Amino acid sequence: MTIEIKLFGFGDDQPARFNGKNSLLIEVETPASPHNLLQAAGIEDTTGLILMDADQVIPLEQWNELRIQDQTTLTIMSAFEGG
Amino acid sequence: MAWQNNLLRVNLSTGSCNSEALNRDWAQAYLGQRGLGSKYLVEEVDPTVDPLSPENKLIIATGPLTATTAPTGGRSSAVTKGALTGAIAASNTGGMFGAELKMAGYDLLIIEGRAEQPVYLWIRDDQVEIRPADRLWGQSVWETEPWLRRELQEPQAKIASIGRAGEVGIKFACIVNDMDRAYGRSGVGAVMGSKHLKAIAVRGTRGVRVADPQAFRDAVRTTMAVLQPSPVRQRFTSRGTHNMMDVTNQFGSLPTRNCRDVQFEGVEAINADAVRVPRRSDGKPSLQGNKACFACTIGCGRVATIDPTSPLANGEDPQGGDRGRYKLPSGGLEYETAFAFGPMCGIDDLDAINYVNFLCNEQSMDPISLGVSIAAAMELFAEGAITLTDTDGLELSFGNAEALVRAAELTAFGEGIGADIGLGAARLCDKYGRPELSMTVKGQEFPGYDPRALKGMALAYATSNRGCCHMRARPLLHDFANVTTEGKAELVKSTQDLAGAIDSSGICMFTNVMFPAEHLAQMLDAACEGDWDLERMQNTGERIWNLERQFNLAAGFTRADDCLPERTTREPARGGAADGQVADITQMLTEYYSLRGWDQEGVPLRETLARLEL
Repeated sequence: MTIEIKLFGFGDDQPARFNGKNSLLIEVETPASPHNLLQAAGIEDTTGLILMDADQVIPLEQWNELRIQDQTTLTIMSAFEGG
Repeated sequence: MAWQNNLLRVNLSTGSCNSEALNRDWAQAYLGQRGLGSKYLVEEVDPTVDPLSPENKLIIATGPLTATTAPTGGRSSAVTKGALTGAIAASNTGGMFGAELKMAGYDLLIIEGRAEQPVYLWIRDDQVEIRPADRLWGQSVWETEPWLRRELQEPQAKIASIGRAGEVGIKFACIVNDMDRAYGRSGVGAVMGSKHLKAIAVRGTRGVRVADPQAFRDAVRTTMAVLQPSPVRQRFTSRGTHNMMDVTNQFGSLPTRNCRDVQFEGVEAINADAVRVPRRSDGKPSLQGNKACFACTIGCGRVATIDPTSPLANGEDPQGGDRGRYKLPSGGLEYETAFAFGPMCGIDDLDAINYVNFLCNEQSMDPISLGVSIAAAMELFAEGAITLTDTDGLELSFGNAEALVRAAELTAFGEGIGADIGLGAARLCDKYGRPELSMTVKGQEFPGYDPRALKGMALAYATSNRGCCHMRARPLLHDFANVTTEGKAELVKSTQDLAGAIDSSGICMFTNVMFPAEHLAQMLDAACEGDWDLERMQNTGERIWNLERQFNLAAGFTRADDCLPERTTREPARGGAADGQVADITQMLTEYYSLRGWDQEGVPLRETLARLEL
């Protein structure tokens, strides 16, 4: 199914596949894991990333679970311990 | 070694300036900066003293790594009893001033008493003079710094000074150094102003020695090899702290309209992307570039301009000065300034936010406290507690950029409604009969992280010794990943301790997400006498935390002060990851006290003090 991946906080470090934009539509087979989606979006370094399914944070320990079934967006935030 | 083993004591009442040997036992136990400065303050100042009385002292403290080649090794702290809070205050700055003071031969500068007339201090290595500052009193930081360099005929002098806000006793006045860096929080600038001390100019030509130069070089090289390729370092360089705004907004932890909301609809007009968009008027973006402090390879500081065609940069200012100075590049927005003047006040006007940020640097105001105090005034206005009569006709409404600008100008000079805003949000809301509208802890205003979504930060805010603060503990990344209170008490306690050591070392707190703290331990171990490792750093930080706590307890603070504003504990967040949730620290606080070795009133147990050699 088609899932929209939205990025926040990446600045100039957006993965190449996003082509300078903050969102990307990808086709994936469901059920899929958040990790599958990250790979499909070309995001390899997951340091400091926070994943949200709608308004729910996806705990790190669930990133390999096949929990993506019928949702249409995945929010990925890149955070650091800011000032 | 690493320490200069020397402090400068200046008594403004008697006019005496004396250097004396540093207490080396204390340096070994408290490192420098915040820790060592606090030790001297605790030993020399009655905790019940009026912060603005001559009996309070202002201590500028460097760390053992200040003015070395340790990456970011240019930090120093201003330690005093805070004018805003009445609690122990330690405000940390970068820039060049601290390193210059250390190179002049001093680990600490202790300022006592009060001058009868305005003065400035001129330190040139071991030559120290207290000079009249009549000519400078009433001038801004931006006028004071160049004037002093001309007067002293010393273009290399580094200067820390106060603007009008510090002179007129605005409770959250800060001390600005190097034009746009600051000892920012808790009203340390009001303390400086109360002493009639306008500025400190320093030129240092001495070096700093480290205990084992070869080991130190190796430790620095190893650290740099980790720091430079760090993706976080690269993000700080390219985007600055401002980058955080999109994340906190999306997460639902961006304090908005005095914490009525946790997300701001206007964020795209003022975020880290917006400052890069070319203006229609001159084709240039607000963001001009970045800048770095002493020995820093990160360069998170921003340089910005406001639109040269804006009324804010043309014509006369309220004091009859030429606004043209605001066309020049100056210190740009960081996350906290952008949050405080933007979402917190409901403002999405980038020029207005940049202008008020400039004004804070020019007249020495803490932008967090100013923005949150104006937001409180805006809510008081919305609730009818502050009226048009109180504001002399100013429509002090959320989202009104002109009102933000005017309120900031009035506050800088302590005039009209600005005199009330300058009391800080807690006193302001008390005065107008609505104390629950003050977003403060221990009298200090909220930084840009809403505690309803960020559970560890909620506890960090409540327990911070200097009043509400986002830098005293580092739970943020865990908070984003886990919207739960589980494990947060231990996390807050351990990061408070580590932060205490970093804050006392001479390097920047931001490095703690760019290289492991073991690297700092290695640099300290090579630079200082004694064996330094991570465990000793943690212990040192814990000792500092308990020392600060004891000062506050003696000053009259109790468990009841380890709390959050009622709004965040009763009004649920609307939207974001913590939609429908309030902040509840009750259980975490009990666990935290236990982990700290304190009784349930928050008083350190005798065995805790003994273990920490306090």
